[in-house]
Amino acid sequence: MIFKRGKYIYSFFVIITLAAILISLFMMYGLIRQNSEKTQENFEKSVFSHSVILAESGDLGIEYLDKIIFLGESTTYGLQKYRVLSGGEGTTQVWTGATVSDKKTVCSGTLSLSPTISSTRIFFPDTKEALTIGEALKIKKPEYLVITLGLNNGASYYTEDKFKMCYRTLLDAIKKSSGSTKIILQSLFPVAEYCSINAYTPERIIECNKWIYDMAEEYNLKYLNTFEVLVDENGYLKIEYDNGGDGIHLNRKGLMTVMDYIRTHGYTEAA
Amino acid sequence: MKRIIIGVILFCILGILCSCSKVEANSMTSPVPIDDVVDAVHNGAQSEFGYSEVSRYYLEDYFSELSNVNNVRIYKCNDSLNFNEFGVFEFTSHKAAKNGLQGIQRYLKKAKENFENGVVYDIKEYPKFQNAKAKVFDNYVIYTILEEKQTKNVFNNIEKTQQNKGL
Repeated sequence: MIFKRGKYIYSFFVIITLAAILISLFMMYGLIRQNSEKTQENFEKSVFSHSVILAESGDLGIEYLDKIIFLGESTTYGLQKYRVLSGGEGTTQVWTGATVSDKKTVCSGTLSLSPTISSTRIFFPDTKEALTIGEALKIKKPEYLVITLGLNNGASYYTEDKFKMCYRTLLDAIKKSSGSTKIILQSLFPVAEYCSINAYTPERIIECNKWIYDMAEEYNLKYLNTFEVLVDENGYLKIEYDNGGDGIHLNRKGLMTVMDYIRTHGYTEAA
Repeated sequence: MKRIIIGVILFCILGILCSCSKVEANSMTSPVPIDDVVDAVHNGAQSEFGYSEVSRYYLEDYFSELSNVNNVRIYKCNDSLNFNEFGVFEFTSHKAAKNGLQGIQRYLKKAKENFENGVVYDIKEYPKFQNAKAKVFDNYVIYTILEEKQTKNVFNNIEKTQQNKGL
């Protein structure tokens, strides 16, 4: 009798063990499927902290946009070129690089992440002078500064260390110049599938955005994930937002979408 | 006997002269201070917004393979659309400088590729990369990514600087 009972107990445990193994296998299969289907959005939700990334805030309106200085490369210059901001083509909210043409200081319409980014001259539209970013901030003291940098040089060929080193150089200079300005690091925008720059793959853009997010976290800033509203299911810029040039620059519709995203993912006291 | 003695003396004189020139070619320190060399380059490559030094970053990233380097100064232009750049490398000897030249030329080739593979905002900058040069001056190697006229000015200035120091 004892032997029979033992036999039943033994069988019971064998069945339980087999069931547990089967359940584990099913769960692992499910997890593998889930992982392989992860999109940029899912990746961000699992990795990015909600205290860094600017979440939906409700529409803060044009008044909010009017308080922002946009510092960036040619993708930012489009805000001026397409008259997306309140000031139209004469807006003083867009800061990109300065250059000299016919012995005159002019706006170059571009800016590149580099080890000398804090010394590179930007075109300060208020006075049409060439100033460093720090000098411009000391004068303007904007309430918000949205920075979009890293496609030029960065996404092309920088390592993670170099990319972040350049960002640190920039952010250290900004911190010294205007402590009260609320700084937002914006993601790089996706590029169109036909873009001829080999380095600009969806994976590379996403990788650089992760580094930008890391910088926001390191410096206790905010990260604006505009990428998510511009990207298609394959990781490329949605074709309706492309200006049909080199696959890098947005058209007016794309830039208006960016503005809508910014005003509905605002930097509020609660953020 | 007299001829043998004269021959030995002449041989000794020849030997002394040869060893003197050998010491001069392999001098451990250049008679021209690096600051003077950098100034000579700056004067030949002037830019409205000036230059910023990037030596530390570039040395780690691009020139870590170089050996026998006493001092390095590398500068990039502060104009957002101007790719002007130059570097001054002081080596321990003329021979070390000649050995280092190839590594620096490889960097120039890579810089040109990076320009070609990135977003080209101003194609007028491309000739600077096509005409980029690296040259040995005594214990120095100087490279330039500049307009052709500026490159000529720079190398002329360096030669004048050396002549003034009696090289």
